[in-house]
Amino acid sequence: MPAARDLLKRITNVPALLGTAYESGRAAAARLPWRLAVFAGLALCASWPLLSTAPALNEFRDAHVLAHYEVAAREAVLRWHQMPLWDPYYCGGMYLLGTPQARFVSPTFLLSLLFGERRAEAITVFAMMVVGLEGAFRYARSRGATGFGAMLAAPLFALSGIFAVSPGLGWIGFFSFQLLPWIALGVRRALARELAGVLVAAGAMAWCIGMGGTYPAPIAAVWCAFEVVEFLAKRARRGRGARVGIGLALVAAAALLAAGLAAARLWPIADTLADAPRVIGGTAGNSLGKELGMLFLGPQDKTENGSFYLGALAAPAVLAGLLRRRSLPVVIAGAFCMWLAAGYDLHPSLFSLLRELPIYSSLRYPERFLVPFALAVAVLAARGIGWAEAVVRARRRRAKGRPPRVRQVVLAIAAFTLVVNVGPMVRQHAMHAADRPLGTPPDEDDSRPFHQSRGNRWGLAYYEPMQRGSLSCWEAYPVPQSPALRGDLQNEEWLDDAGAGTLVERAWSPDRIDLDVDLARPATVLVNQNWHSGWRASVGEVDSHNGLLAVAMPAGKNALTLSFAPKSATGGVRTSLVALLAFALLAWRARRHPTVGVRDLPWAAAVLLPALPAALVAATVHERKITEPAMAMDGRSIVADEVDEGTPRVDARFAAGVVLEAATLSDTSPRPGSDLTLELDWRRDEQIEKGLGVFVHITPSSGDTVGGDHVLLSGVLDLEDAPPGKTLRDVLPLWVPDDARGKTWKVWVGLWRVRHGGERVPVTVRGNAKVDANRVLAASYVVR
Amino acid sequence: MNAKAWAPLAAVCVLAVGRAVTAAPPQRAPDADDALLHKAFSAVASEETAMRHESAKSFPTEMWSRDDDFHRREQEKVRDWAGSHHVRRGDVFRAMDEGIRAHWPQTNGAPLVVTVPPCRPRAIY
Repeated sequence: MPAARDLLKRITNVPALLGTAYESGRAAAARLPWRLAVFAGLALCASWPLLSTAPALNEFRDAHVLAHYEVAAREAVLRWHQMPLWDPYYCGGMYLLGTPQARFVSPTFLLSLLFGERRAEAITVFAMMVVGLEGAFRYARSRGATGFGAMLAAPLFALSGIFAVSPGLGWIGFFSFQLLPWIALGVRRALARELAGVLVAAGAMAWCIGMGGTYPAPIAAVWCAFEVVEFLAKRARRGRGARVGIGLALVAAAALLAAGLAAARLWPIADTLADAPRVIGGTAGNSLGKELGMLFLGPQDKTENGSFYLGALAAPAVLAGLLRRRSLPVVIAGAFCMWLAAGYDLHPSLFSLLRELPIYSSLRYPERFLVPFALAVAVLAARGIGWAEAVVRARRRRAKGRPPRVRQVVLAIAAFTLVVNVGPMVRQHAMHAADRPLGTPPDEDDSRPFHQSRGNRWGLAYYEPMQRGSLSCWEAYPVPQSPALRGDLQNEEWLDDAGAGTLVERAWSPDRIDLDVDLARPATVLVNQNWHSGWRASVGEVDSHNGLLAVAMPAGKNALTLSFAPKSATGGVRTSLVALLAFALLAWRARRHPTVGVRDLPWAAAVLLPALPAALVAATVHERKITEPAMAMDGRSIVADEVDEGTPRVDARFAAGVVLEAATLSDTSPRPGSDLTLELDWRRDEQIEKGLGVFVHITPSSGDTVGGDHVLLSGVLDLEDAPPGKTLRDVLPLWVPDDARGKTWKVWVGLWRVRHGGERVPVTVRGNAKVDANRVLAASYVVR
Repeated sequence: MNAKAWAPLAAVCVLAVGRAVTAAPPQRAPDADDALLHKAFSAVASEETAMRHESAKSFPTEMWSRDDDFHRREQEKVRDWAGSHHVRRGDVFRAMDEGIRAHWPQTNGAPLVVTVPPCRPRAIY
């Protein structure tokens, strides 16, 4: 049995086995097809539970909404043969292309078209993991890691906790974080004067934005800023002005090209958020202990442990990476990410400073900066492996095949623990996949005519398949929604003057409604959907009727066609198409002249081409904006010249430049289990402090205080956007609890720095009110 | 390009797509008849005022949050009723829509609400 003995000898020869594994790993890392096969295998393991349950419906509330956007876009294309512009199935109608969280302007939408949203979701997760693994590999290589080290370390980023948690919550848009290393790689290469870098950075960033990267894109931009600062710091020492200038010019070109490519999304989103800005209050923060729990501990109920899981077994490789001097920039970038992720818990707060910038002001959760931290950790681990490899290989050369054992052991331990670490990472994916609440997918019934329904956003996935729109609505921004929408109508279009004539619906689709209107006298056609400035009418004029879509029609017989074609969509799509041409032109140029010199810079100016259609559409397409006066819940205008006559004055002044003029209760002796309204009348100076919120504490003579803190006056108007020198009505309901009988309730009101530290704004003039701890006693009532 | 070299990657991708495409959906409950749909509507709609009352307690000063919380409770009621009567959740949601539109009988103390307050996500959690 010499063969068996020989085999046994080989198997038990651990150093030889490790050597073989190492050489195999190096070979796999060096060859793209093999490497991608390894990465695909890893992604398959991590996504297998999702793939195996792909047709099931994820019943988590966010999944209902976020998947719905993809379903609505797919239906628009496949069933209605239209551009996915308008979504009548949610919130009474909303601008689908302008919805920041929709993810369908991405190559992954092709999967949804081919396989249906649910099955495509699982395939998208698989595919994006492969994209992320290869991106992390290439990025680590660009930072000096060896192929072997980069391959072992790539899962630290691409299989990290955020990608395990997100599918269960329906946050598939978060897989655009997998493009982060590609964006960073592109910027590094652009700074090195490579034209291909411009293409990689721009393409990846545009993809990220198109895939609903509400957090990934701004966070990736921060990482790009790190890259630029690092580049400048290094070049400043070497002093090569022209090269620095070209590098920076190429990064600017990449940013412009990305904006052009993503214009089909950016312009509509800008349009949406201009109409309905997302206002974020609060001072979210994470202690260092909490951050470490998110990164290194397994999931645990009622904690956020493991939500950005990296695994502790990466430590040996990371520690080895820290020993390298050239790792310093990555260490600094990682430290900055941790600082940002700490939010308002660490003083001074870098996150607070970042939120002063436009776009970043709408970010709520600082812990998402732990995603780029994972990239930093992956690079450090890759460099750690590379360090051990380099030392072993150098010694091997010098000592003629006898490397020192210690170095070998370091490499073996670091590499082995990184490989073993993949196990718990994949396990996280399986655990989160198993925790999803799965249900039976709804049946499609396309035969029914469309109607708005009261709906239910917690079960939104059931509505579109039965041709119903859900008025019940949640989004991360205040969707412009008419209070006149109804969920019980027999006809979705009607005349405001029912006796003026007849109206028949000839055809209906999301972006277009055809009606036959026969009127004896002028009348208004009303549609049970929200008005938007993008709606056009073939006859008459589109108008907003208490927020409803309306058309003022002349007398006579008319075929009325309502179509949705907003300027931001037509302009954005044309801009993106020209940007694609510019991208192709630069790609052609990059093949012939990979490195950009001063003479080649005019070529980079191709990134300005998309500005032409953008300017043309902006100048020639006119859209009528109707600004409805901001209304309080009682139907009165929020902005008034004066406080209502006879209202007792408070006139308490706050240091922020705001006065509480009056406070009124609708009933000072309400019944238990009923509602009353509280009206606070504010007036602001020309200059006021930014980031203010209103706090309302309703304290009973015994029992728990009820809170009514808010940022927007009457739920609509930000103090910062309110006109100065006017009375600003801030009306809110107050529910009288069932056990409130006989109690006296005091309503204390004040201002606080809701976006800047959270402290109260001092009361400088008490006026006619009692003041205690910088809060004003606005009203009191006794429950009957 | 060496096609053989790409074969392992292609095989893994085919396996991934194949798994997603061939995976079976969860077992469907049988179709609900009209009587069962009416019963479902009555069971959920009759609780509406009570559920809205509970939501008002949770969100005493925010109309949209109250309404949203009511819909959460309604969804849970739909889920529980569908589960206990072995009908599809989608059928119960359809019953809610048809019942409200056609005024199916129910025993709620007040008229069912057919509008919603405009979406006003909370700026502070």
